[in-house]
Amino acid sequence: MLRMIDSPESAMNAAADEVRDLVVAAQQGDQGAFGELYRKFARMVHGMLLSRIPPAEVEDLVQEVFLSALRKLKDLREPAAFGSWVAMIARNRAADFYRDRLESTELTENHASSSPGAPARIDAVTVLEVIQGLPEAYRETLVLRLVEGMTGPEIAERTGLGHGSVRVNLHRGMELLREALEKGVQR
Amino acid sequence: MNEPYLWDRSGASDPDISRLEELLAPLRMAESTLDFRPVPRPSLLARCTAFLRQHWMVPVAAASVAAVLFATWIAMAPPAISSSDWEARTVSGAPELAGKKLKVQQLLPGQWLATNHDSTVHLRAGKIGEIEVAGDSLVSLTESRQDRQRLSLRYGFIHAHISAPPGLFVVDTPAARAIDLGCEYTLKIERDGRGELRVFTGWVDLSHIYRQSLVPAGAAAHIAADGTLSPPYFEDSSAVFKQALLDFSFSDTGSAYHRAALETVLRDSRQRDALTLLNLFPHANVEERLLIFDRLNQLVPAPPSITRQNARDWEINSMNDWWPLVEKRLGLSAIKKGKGR
Repeated sequence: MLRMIDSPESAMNAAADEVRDLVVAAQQGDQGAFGELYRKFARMVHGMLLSRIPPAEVEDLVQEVFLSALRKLKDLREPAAFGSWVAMIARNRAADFYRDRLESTELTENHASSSPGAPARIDAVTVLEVIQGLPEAYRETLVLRLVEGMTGPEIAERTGLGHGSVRVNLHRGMELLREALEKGVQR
Repeated sequence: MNEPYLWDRSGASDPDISRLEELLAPLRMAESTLDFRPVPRPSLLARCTAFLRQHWMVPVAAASVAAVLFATWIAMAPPAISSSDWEARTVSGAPELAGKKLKVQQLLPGQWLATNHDSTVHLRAGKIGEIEVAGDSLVSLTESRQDRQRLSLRYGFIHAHISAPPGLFVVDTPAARAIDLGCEYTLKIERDGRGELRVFTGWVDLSHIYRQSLVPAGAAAHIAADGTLSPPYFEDSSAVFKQALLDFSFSDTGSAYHRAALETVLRDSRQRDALTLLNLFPHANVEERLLIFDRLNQLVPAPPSITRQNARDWEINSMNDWWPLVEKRLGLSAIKKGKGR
Protein backbone atom coordinates (compact mmCIF):
# COMPACT_ATOMS: atom_id res chain seq x y z
CA MET A 1 0.00 0.00 0.00
CA LEU A 2 1.37 3.41 -0.97
CA ARG A 3 1.16 6.10 1.70
CA MET A 4 1.47 9.73 0.69
CA ILE A 5 3.62 11.58 3.24
CA ASP A 6 3.53 15.37 3.13
CA SER A 7 4.44 16.55 6.67
CA PRO A 8 6.39 15.43 9.74
CA GLU A 9 3.08 14.73 11.49
CA SER A 10 1.79 12.49 8.73
CA ALA A 11 5.16 10.71 8.58
CA MET A 12 4.93 10.02 12.31
CA ASN A 13 1.37 8.82 11.93
CA ALA A 14 2.38 6.45 9.16
CA ALA A 15 5.23 5.12 11.29
CA ALA A 16 2.88 4.67 14.25
CA ASP A 17 0.46 2.74 12.04
CA GLU A 18 3.25 0.44 10.93
CA VAL A 19 4.38 -0.18 14.50
CA ARG A 20 0.80 -0.84 15.59
CA ASP A 21 0.39 -3.44 12.81
CA LEU A 22 3.64 -5.16 13.75
CA VAL A 23 2.79 -5.27 17.45
CA VAL A 24 -0.65 -6.70 16.78
CA ALA A 25 0.85 -9.36 14.51
CA ALA A 26 3.53 -10.18 17.11
CA GLN A 27 0.89 -10.43 19.83
CA GLN A 28 -0.81 -13.03 17.65
CA GLY A 29 2.40 -15.08 17.49
CA ASP A 30 4.08 -13.74 14.35
CA GLN A 31 7.80 -14.09 15.16
CA GLY A 32 8.78 -12.28 11.95
CA ALA A 33 6.82 -9.24 13.10
CA PHE A 34 8.65 -9.23 16.43
CA GLY A 35 11.95 -9.54 14.55
CA GLU A 36 10.97 -6.46 12.56
CA LEU A 37 10.13 -4.57 15.77
CA TYR A 38 13.55 -5.55 17.08
CA ARG A 39 15.28 -4.20 13.98
CA LYS A 40 13.34 -0.94 14.28
CA PHE A 41 13.90 -0.35 17.98
CA ALA A 42 17.12 -2.21 18.90
CA ARG A 43 19.28 0.79 18.10
CA MET A 44 17.17 3.03 20.32
CA VAL A 45 17.34 0.52 23.19
CA HIS A 46 21.08 0.15 22.66
CA GLY A 47 21.49 3.92 22.87
CA MET A 48 19.33 4.24 25.98
CA LEU A 49 21.33 1.55 27.76
CA LEU A 50 24.58 3.06 26.56
CA SER A 51 23.58 6.38 28.11
CA ARG A 52 23.49 4.64 31.50
CA ILE A 53 25.78 1.60 31.72
CA PRO A 54 29.29 0.55 30.58
CA PRO A 55 29.53 -0.26 26.86
CA ALA A 56 30.76 -3.82 27.42
CA GLU A 57 27.51 -4.73 29.16
CA VAL A 58 25.11 -3.20 26.67
CA GLU A 59 24.81 -5.82 23.94
CA ASP A 60 23.66 -8.61 26.25
CA LEU A 61 21.21 -6.29 27.99
CA VAL A 62 19.65 -5.31 24.65
CA GLN A 63 18.79 -8.98 24.15
CA GLU A 64 17.44 -9.21 27.70
CA VAL A 65 15.24 -6.15 27.20
CA PHE A 66 13.68 -7.64 24.08
CA LEU A 67 13.27 -11.07 25.67
CA SER A 68 11.44 -9.32 28.48
CA ALA A 69 9.35 -7.37 25.95
CA LEU A 70 8.49 -10.58 24.10
CA ARG A 71 7.27 -12.19 27.33
CA LYS A 72 5.15 -9.16 28.29
CA LEU A 73 3.96 -8.18 24.83
CA LYS A 74 0.44 -9.52 25.31
CA ASP A 75 0.01 -7.08 28.21
CA LEU A 76 0.73 -4.06 26.03
CA ARG A 77 -2.67 -2.38 25.59
CA GLU A 78 -1.66 0.45 23.24
CA PRO A 79 0.35 -1.17 20.42
CA ALA A 80 1.39 2.16 18.91
CA ALA A 81 3.17 3.02 22.16
CA PHE A 82 5.63 0.12 21.74
CA GLY A 83 8.59 2.51 21.50
CA SER A 84 8.02 4.31 24.81
CA TRP A 85 7.07 0.97 26.43
CA VAL A 86 10.27 -0.83 25.42
CA ALA A 87 12.24 2.30 26.39
CA MET A 88 10.78 2.05 29.89
CA ILE A 89 11.83 -1.62 30.08
CA ALA A 90 15.35 -0.58 29.04
CA ARG A 91 15.53 2.15 31.71
CA ASN A 92 14.34 -0.28 34.39
CA ARG A 93 16.83 -2.92 33.25
CA ALA A 94 19.66 -0.37 33.47
CA ALA A 95 18.58 0.52 37.03
CA ASP A 96 18.54 -3.22 37.92
CA PHE A 97 22.04 -3.53 36.53
CA TYR A 98 23.34 -1.01 39.07
CA ARG A 99 21.36 -2.54 41.92
CA ASP A 100 22.96 -5.91 41.12
CA ARG A 101 26.42 -4.38 40.96
CA LEU A 102 26.07 -2.57 44.26
CA GLU A 103 26.42 -5.89 46.03
CA SER A 104 29.54 -6.99 44.16
CA THR A 105 31.88 -3.97 43.95
CA GLU A 106 35.22 -5.09 42.63
CA LEU A 107 38.40 -4.81 44.69
CA THR A 108 40.25 -3.12 41.85
CA GLU A 109 37.81 -0.22 41.95
CA ASN A 110 38.69 0.38 45.58
CA HIS A 111 42.36 0.40 44.66
CA ALA A 112 41.75 2.91 41.92
CA SER A 113 39.82 5.25 44.17
CA SER A 114 42.79 5.45 46.51
CA SER A 115 45.08 6.77 43.79
CA PRO A 116 46.27 10.38 44.07
CA GLY A 117 43.64 11.78 41.72
CA ALA A 118 43.05 10.25 38.32
CA PRO A 119 44.10 12.44 35.42
CA ALA A 120 41.63 13.22 32.63
CA ARG A 121 41.22 10.25 30.31
CA ILE A 122 40.33 10.61 26.69
CA ASP A 123 38.59 8.60 23.99
CA ALA A 124 35.12 7.42 23.04
CA VAL A 125 34.51 5.85 26.43
CA THR A 126 35.61 9.04 28.17
CA VAL A 127 33.28 11.20 26.11
CA LEU A 128 30.52 8.67 26.79
CA GLU A 129 31.22 8.94 30.51
CA VAL A 130 30.87 12.71 30.23
CA ILE A 131 27.54 12.27 28.45
CA GLN A 132 26.43 9.79 31.12
CA GLY A 133 26.99 12.55 33.66
CA LEU A 134 24.45 14.86 31.98
CA PRO A 135 20.77 15.00 32.96
CA GLU A 136 18.78 12.01 31.72
CA ALA A 137 16.80 13.73 28.97
CA TYR A 138 19.93 15.13 27.38
CA ARG A 139 22.12 12.05 27.67
CA GLU A 140 19.59 9.74 26.01
CA THR A 141 18.99 12.10 23.12
CA LEU A 142 22.69 12.82 22.63
CA VAL A 143 23.66 9.14 22.58
CA LEU A 144 20.91 8.36 20.08
CA ARG A 145 22.09 11.22 17.86
CA LEU A 146 25.90 11.08 18.23
CA VAL A 147 26.49 7.37 18.83
CA GLU A 148 23.61 5.55 17.19
CA GLY A 149 23.49 7.98 14.27
CA MET A 150 19.73 8.63 14.49
CA THR A 151 18.38 11.98 13.28
CA GLY A 152 16.16 14.18 15.40
CA PRO A 153 12.97 13.09 13.55
CA GLU A 154 13.95 9.43 13.98
CA ILE A 155 14.51 9.93 17.70
CA ALA A 156 11.12 11.58 18.02
CA GLU A 157 9.43 8.80 16.08
CA ARG A 158 11.03 5.95 18.05
CA THR A 159 10.82 7.40 21.54
CA GLY A 160 7.41 9.03 21.19
CA LEU A 161 8.80 12.42 22.21
CA GLY A 162 7.66 15.52 20.33
CA HIS A 163 9.94 17.14 17.75
CA GLY A 164 10.21 20.24 19.94
CA SER A 165 11.38 18.27 22.96
CA VAL A 166 13.99 16.37 20.97
CA ARG A 167 15.23 19.59 19.39
CA VAL A 168 15.59 21.27 22.78
CA ASN A 169 17.28 18.22 24.29
CA LEU A 170 19.78 18.06 21.43
CA HIS A 171 20.59 21.76 21.53
CA ARG A 172 20.90 22.05 25.30
CA GLY A 173 22.63 18.66 25.58
CA MET A 174 25.28 19.68 23.04
CA GLU A 175 25.90 22.92 24.93
CA LEU A 176 26.34 21.04 28.20
CA LEU A 177 28.55 18.43 26.55
CA ARG A 178 30.83 21.09 25.09
CA GLU A 179 31.10 22.81 28.47
CA ALA A 180 31.89 19.52 30.22
CA LEU A 181 34.52 18.54 27.64
CA GLU A 182 36.15 21.96 27.86
CA LYS A 183 36.28 21.71 31.65
CA GLY A 184 37.86 18.27 31.21
CA VAL A 185 40.50 19.76 28.95
CA GLN A 186 41.28 22.55 31.38
CA ARG A 187 41.50 20.21 34.37
CA MET B 1 26.66 25.22 16.42
CA ASN B 2 25.05 24.22 13.11
CA GLU B 3 21.46 23.50 14.21
CA PRO B 4 20.20 21.89 10.96
CA TYR B 5 23.13 19.47 10.99
CA LEU B 6 22.57 18.61 14.63
CA TRP B 7 18.88 18.03 13.95
CA ASP B 8 18.91 15.88 10.84
CA ARG B 9 22.37 16.19 9.30
CA SER B 10 21.12 18.64 6.69
CA GLY B 11 23.11 21.70 5.62
CA ALA B 12 26.84 22.06 6.07
CA SER B 13 28.33 19.64 8.54
CA ASP B 14 29.38 21.00 11.92
CA PRO B 15 33.08 20.09 12.46
CA ASP B 16 32.70 19.58 16.23
CA ILE B 17 29.64 17.38 15.87
CA SER B 18 31.25 15.44 13.03
CA ARG B 19 34.33 14.75 15.15
CA LEU B 20 32.20 13.57 18.05
CA GLU B 21 30.21 11.32 15.70
CA GLU B 22 33.38 9.81 14.35
CA LEU B 23 34.92 9.38 17.79
CA LEU B 24 31.81 7.72 19.21
CA ALA B 25 31.04 5.55 16.17
CA PRO B 26 32.86 2.47 17.58
CA LEU B 27 30.26 2.36 20.37
CA ARG B 28 27.36 2.20 17.91
CA MET B 29 25.28 -0.95 17.79
CA ALA B 30 26.80 -3.20 15.14
CA GLU B 31 24.66 -4.01 12.11
CA SER B 32 25.51 -7.66 12.66
CA THR B 33 23.64 -7.64 15.98
CA LEU B 34 20.42 -6.29 14.51
CA ASP B 35 18.87 -9.76 14.51
CA PHE B 36 16.93 -10.88 17.51
CA ARG B 37 17.99 -14.19 19.15
CA PRO B 38 14.80 -15.36 20.86
CA VAL B 39 16.18 -18.86 21.62
CA PRO B 40 18.20 -19.03 24.86
CA ARG B 41 21.67 -20.52 24.50
CA PRO B 42 21.26 -23.58 26.82
CA SER B 43 19.30 -25.38 24.08
CA LEU B 44 22.46 -25.46 21.95
CA LEU B 45 23.56 -28.90 23.20
CA ALA B 46 20.19 -30.46 22.43
CA ARG B 47 20.18 -28.96 18.95
CA CYS B 48 23.75 -30.16 18.29
CA THR B 49 22.89 -33.72 19.36
CA ALA B 50 19.92 -33.90 17.02
CA PHE B 51 21.98 -32.44 14.20
CA LEU B 52 24.83 -34.93 14.66
CA ARG B 53 22.49 -37.88 14.52
CA GLN B 54 21.71 -36.93 10.94
CA HIS B 55 25.13 -35.62 9.85
CA TRP B 56 27.80 -38.03 11.14
CA MET B 57 30.43 -36.86 8.61
CA VAL B 58 30.41 -33.37 10.03
CA PRO B 59 32.58 -34.09 13.12
CA VAL B 60 35.38 -35.50 10.93
CA ALA B 61 35.51 -32.40 8.76
CA ALA B 62 35.04 -30.15 11.76
CA ALA B 63 38.02 -31.72 13.53
CA SER B 64 40.27 -30.92 10.57
CA VAL B 65 39.04 -27.34 10.37
CA ALA B 66 39.37 -26.94 14.14
CA ALA B 67 43.01 -28.06 14.02
CA VAL B 68 43.80 -25.40 11.43
CA LEU B 69 41.85 -22.72 13.33
CA PHE B 70 43.53 -23.63 16.60
CA ALA B 71 46.99 -23.34 15.05
CA THR B 72 46.01 -19.96 13.56
CA TRP B 73 44.60 -18.79 16.87
CA ILE B 74 47.76 -19.78 18.70
CA ALA B 75 49.81 -17.79 16.20
CA MET B 76 47.58 -14.70 16.28
CA ALA B 77 46.19 -14.51 19.80
CA PRO B 78 47.50 -11.71 22.04
CA PRO B 79 50.00 -12.90 24.63
CA ALA B 80 48.13 -13.95 27.74
CA ILE B 81 48.76 -11.46 30.54
CA SER B 82 47.05 -10.60 33.77
CA SER B 83 47.72 -8.14 36.55
CA SER B 84 49.89 -10.73 38.30
CA ASP B 85 52.34 -10.58 35.38
CA TRP B 86 53.42 -7.00 36.05
CA GLU B 87 56.71 -6.83 37.92
CA ALA B 88 58.53 -3.70 39.11
CA ARG B 89 62.24 -3.90 39.86
CA THR B 90 64.52 -1.18 41.20
CA VAL B 91 67.41 -0.40 38.88
CA SER B 92 68.90 2.43 40.93
CA GLY B 93 68.06 4.71 43.86
CA ALA B 94 65.13 4.24 46.23
CA PRO B 95 61.82 4.36 44.38
CA GLU B 96 58.51 3.77 46.16
CA LEU B 97 55.62 1.52 45.20
CA ALA B 98 52.32 2.17 46.97
CA GLY B 99 54.20 4.28 49.49
CA LYS B 100 56.75 1.60 50.40
CA LYS B 101 60.36 1.18 49.36
CA LEU B 102 60.60 -0.97 46.22
CA LYS B 103 63.11 -3.71 45.37
CA VAL B 104 61.33 -6.32 43.29
CA GLN B 105 57.59 -6.50 43.56
CA GLN B 106 54.39 -7.28 41.71
CA LEU B 107 52.68 -4.15 40.36
CA LEU B 108 48.93 -4.21 40.95
CA PRO B 109 46.18 -2.11 39.34
CA GLY B 110 45.64 1.10 41.28
CA GLN B 111 49.12 1.20 42.83
CA TRP B 112 51.30 4.24 42.20
CA LEU B 113 55.01 3.99 41.54
CA ALA B 114 57.08 7.07 42.37
CA THR B 115 60.73 7.63 41.50
CA ASN B 116 62.81 10.50 42.83
CA HIS B 117 65.54 12.28 40.91
CA ASP B 118 68.16 9.54 41.31
CA SER B 119 66.05 6.39 41.09
CA THR B 120 64.95 4.32 38.08
CA VAL B 121 62.66 1.32 37.77
CA HIS B 122 62.30 -1.50 35.26
CA LEU B 123 58.72 -2.69 34.61
CA ARG B 124 58.14 -6.04 32.95
CA ALA B 125 54.66 -6.70 31.60
CA GLY B 126 54.57 -10.46 31.01
CA LYS B 127 55.47 -11.14 27.41
CA ILE B 128 54.06 -7.92 25.99
CA GLY B 129 56.99 -5.69 26.74
CA GLU B 130 59.24 -3.76 29.09
CA ILE B 131 59.18 -0.18 30.30
CA GLU B 132 61.98 1.82 31.87
CA VAL B 133 60.74 4.47 34.29
CA ALA B 134 63.25 7.29 34.76
CA GLY B 135 63.76 9.54 37.79
CA ASP B 136 61.14 12.05 38.94
CA SER B 137 58.24 10.03 37.55
CA LEU B 138 54.83 9.03 38.85
CA VAL B 139 53.28 5.98 37.17
CA SER B 140 50.29 3.77 37.87
CA LEU B 141 48.93 0.56 36.39
CA THR B 142 45.31 1.55 35.87
CA GLU B 143 43.99 -1.45 33.96
CA SER B 144 45.27 -4.96 33.33
CA ARG B 145 43.15 -7.29 31.24
CA GLN B 146 44.12 -9.83 28.65
CA ASP B 147 43.01 -7.48 25.88
CA ARG B 148 44.17 -4.19 27.41
CA GLN B 149 47.07 -3.00 29.54
CA ARG B 150 46.89 0.62 30.62
CA LEU B 151 49.43 2.75 32.44
CA SER B 152 48.96 6.27 33.69
CA LEU B 153 52.00 8.54 33.50
CA ARG B 154 51.21 11.60 35.62
CA TYR B 155 54.64 13.07 35.00
CA GLY B 156 58.15 11.92 34.28
CA PHE B 157 59.75 9.83 31.55
CA ILE B 158 59.24 6.29 30.29
CA HIS B 159 60.94 4.26 27.57
CA ALA B 160 58.68 1.47 26.30
CA HIS B 161 59.62 -1.59 24.22
CA ILE B 162 56.33 -3.25 23.28
CA SER B 163 55.78 -6.41 21.26
CA ALA B 164 52.04 -6.76 21.89
CA PRO B 165 49.36 -6.64 19.20
CA PRO B 166 48.47 -3.05 18.20
CA GLY B 167 46.13 -1.26 20.55
CA LEU B 168 46.74 -3.49 23.56
CA PHE B 169 49.18 -1.27 25.44
CA VAL B 170 48.00 2.25 26.30
CA VAL B 171 49.59 5.06 28.31
CA ASP B 172 47.37 7.86 29.61
CA THR B 173 48.89 11.23 30.45
CA PRO B 174 47.08 14.22 31.95
CA ALA B 175 46.48 15.70 28.51
CA ALA B 176 46.74 12.87 25.99
CA ARG B 177 46.79 9.16 25.38
CA ALA B 178 49.49 7.13 23.61
CA ILE B 179 48.32 3.90 22.02
CA ASP B 180 51.02 1.48 21.00
CA LEU B 181 50.78 0.19 17.44
CA GLY B 182 53.70 -2.23 17.83
CA CYS B 183 56.79 -0.25 18.64
CA GLU B 184 59.45 1.32 20.82
CA TYR B 185 59.02 4.88 22.05
CA THR B 186 59.73 7.37 24.81
CA LEU B 187 57.22 9.65 26.48
CA LYS B 188 58.19 12.65 28.56
CA ILE B 189 55.51 14.45 30.55
CA GLU B 190 55.95 17.65 32.55
CA ARG B 191 54.01 18.28 35.76
CA ASP B 192 51.70 20.70 33.94
CA GLY B 193 50.73 18.05 31.38
CA ARG B 194 52.93 19.20 28.49
CA GLY B 195 54.83 16.41 26.86
CA GLU B 196 56.85 14.96 24.03
CA LEU B 197 56.57 11.60 22.28
CA ARG B 198 59.48 10.13 20.30
CA VAL B 199 59.02 6.94 18.29
CA PHE B 200 61.89 4.64 17.33
CA THR B 201 60.10 1.70 15.69
CA GLY B 202 56.51 1.13 14.50
CA TRP B 203 53.80 3.75 15.09
CA VAL B 204 52.14 5.37 18.08
CA ASP B 205 48.62 6.79 17.97
CA LEU B 206 48.69 9.93 20.11
CA SER B 207 45.23 11.28 20.81
CA HIS B 208 43.22 13.72 22.88
CA ILE B 209 39.44 13.42 22.70
CA TYR B 210 38.95 13.94 18.96
CA ARG B 211 42.44 15.22 18.19
CA GLN B 212 44.92 12.67 16.86
CA SER B 213 48.54 12.53 15.77
CA LEU B 214 49.83 9.30 14.24
CA VAL B 215 53.57 9.21 14.83
CA PRO B 216 55.84 6.84 12.87
CA ALA B 217 59.36 5.63 13.58
CA GLY B 218 61.90 8.45 13.42
CA ALA B 219 59.31 11.07 14.26
CA ALA B 220 58.10 12.92 17.34
CA ALA B 221 55.09 14.96 18.44
CA HIS B 222 54.40 17.45 21.21
CA ILE B 223 51.51 17.66 23.65
CA ALA B 224 50.31 21.01 25.03
CA ALA B 225 48.89 21.23 28.53
CA ASP B 226 45.37 21.72 27.11
CA GLY B 227 45.63 18.55 25.01
CA THR B 228 46.45 20.23 21.72
CA LEU B 229 48.77 17.91 19.79
CA SER B 230 51.38 18.91 17.27
CA PRO B 231 51.44 17.00 13.99
CA PRO B 232 54.19 14.37 13.84
CA TYR B 233 57.50 15.62 12.48
CA PHE B 234 60.64 13.74 11.52
CA GLU B 235 63.48 14.40 13.90
CA ASP B 236 65.91 14.99 11.03
CA SER B 237 63.92 17.98 9.78
CA SER B 238 65.50 21.42 10.15
CA ALA B 239 65.42 23.26 13.47
CA VAL B 240 63.65 26.16 11.79
CA PHE B 241 60.99 23.82 10.42
CA LYS B 242 60.42 22.19 13.81
CA GLN B 243 60.14 25.46 15.70
CA ALA B 244 57.77 26.94 13.13
CA LEU B 245 55.66 23.79 13.27
CA LEU B 246 55.27 24.08 17.04
CA ASP B 247 54.51 27.80 16.74
CA PHE B 248 51.84 26.98 14.18
CA SER B 249 50.37 24.08 16.16
CA PHE B 250 50.01 25.94 19.44
CA SER B 251 48.94 29.42 18.28
CA ASP B 252 45.50 30.78 17.43
CA THR B 253 44.22 29.86 13.98
CA GLY B 254 43.82 32.94 11.86
CA SER B 255 46.38 35.08 13.69
CA ALA B 256 49.24 36.71 11.80
CA TYR B 257 51.70 34.73 13.95
CA HIS B 258 49.97 31.48 13.00
CA ARG B 259 50.06 32.36 9.30
CA ALA B 260 53.74 33.38 9.41
CA ALA B 261 54.64 30.13 11.13
CA LEU B 262 52.77 28.16 8.48
CA GLU B 263 54.59 29.97 5.67
CA THR B 264 57.93 29.00 7.27
CA VAL B 265 56.83 25.38 7.65
CA LEU B 266 55.79 25.19 4.01
CA ARG B 267 58.90 26.97 2.76
CA ASP B 268 61.28 24.71 4.69
CA SER B 269 59.46 21.43 4.04
CA ARG B 270 61.15 18.57 2.22
CA GLN B 271 59.42 15.63 0.57
CA ARG B 272 59.99 13.66 3.78
CA ASP B 273 57.94 16.30 5.61
CA ALA B 274 54.86 15.47 3.54
CA LEU B 275 53.55 13.44 6.49
CA THR B 276 53.70 16.54 8.67
CA LEU B 277 51.94 18.65 6.04
CA LEU B 278 49.20 16.05 5.69
CA ASN B 279 48.51 16.51 9.40
CA LEU B 280 48.32 20.31 9.23
CA PHE B 281 44.79 20.57 7.80
CA PRO B 282 42.95 20.26 11.15
CA HIS B 283 44.99 23.19 12.52
CA ALA B 284 44.30 25.54 9.59
CA ASN B 285 41.61 27.90 8.28
CA VAL B 286 40.35 27.89 4.69
CA GLU B 287 43.10 30.10 3.24
CA GLU B 288 45.79 28.19 5.07
CA ARG B 289 44.39 24.84 3.94
CA LEU B 290 44.75 25.90 0.31
CA LEU B 291 48.39 26.85 0.90
CA ILE B 292 49.01 23.49 2.57
CA PHE B 293 47.29 21.66 -0.29
CA ASP B 294 49.44 23.39 -2.91
CA ARG B 295 52.74 22.62 -1.15
CA LEU B 296 51.80 19.06 -0.29
CA ASN B 297 50.67 18.52 -3.86
CA GLN B 298 54.18 19.53 -5.02
CA LEU B 299 55.83 17.09 -2.60
CA VAL B 300 53.50 14.11 -3.13
CA PRO B 301 50.87 14.66 -5.83
CA ALA B 302 47.31 14.30 -4.61
CA PRO B 303 45.21 11.35 -5.77
CA PRO B 304 42.47 12.17 -8.32
CA SER B 305 39.85 11.90 -5.57
CA ILE B 306 41.30 14.88 -3.66
CA THR B 307 41.13 18.40 -5.12
CA ARG B 308 41.67 21.95 -3.87
CA GLN B 309 37.95 22.09 -3.30
CA ASN B 310 38.32 19.19 -0.81
CA ALA B 311 40.98 21.20 0.99
CA ARG B 312 38.69 24.24 1.06
CA ASP B 313 35.75 22.19 2.39
CA TRP B 314 37.96 20.08 4.63
CA GLU B 315 36.36 17.53 6.97
CA ILE B 316 37.98 14.94 9.15
CA ASN B 317 38.14 12.26 6.45
CA SER B 318 38.74 14.49 3.44
CA MET B 319 42.41 13.60 3.04
CA ASN B 320 42.19 9.87 3.73
CA ASP B 321 43.07 8.85 0.16
CA TRP B 322 46.30 10.86 0.36
CA TRP B 323 47.64 8.86 3.31
CA PRO B 324 48.68 5.67 1.46
CA LEU B 325 50.46 7.72 -1.24
CA VAL B 326 52.45 9.64 1.37
CA GLU B 327 53.28 6.48 3.30
CA LYS B 328 54.45 4.77 0.12
CA ARG B 329 56.52 7.75 -1.07
CA LEU B 330 58.16 8.09 2.32
CA GLY B 331 58.75 4.34 2.67
CA LEU B 332 56.79 4.16 5.91
CA SER B 333 55.54 0.88 7.27
CA ALA B 334 51.77 0.47 7.08
CA ILE B 335 49.87 1.46 10.20
CA LYS B 336 48.70 -1.59 12.10
CA LYS B 337 45.08 -1.40 13.13
CA GLY B 338 44.51 -1.51 16.86
CA LYS B 339 41.61 -2.98 18.81
CA GLY B 340 40.23 0.45 19.61
CA ARG B 341 40.31 1.89 23.04
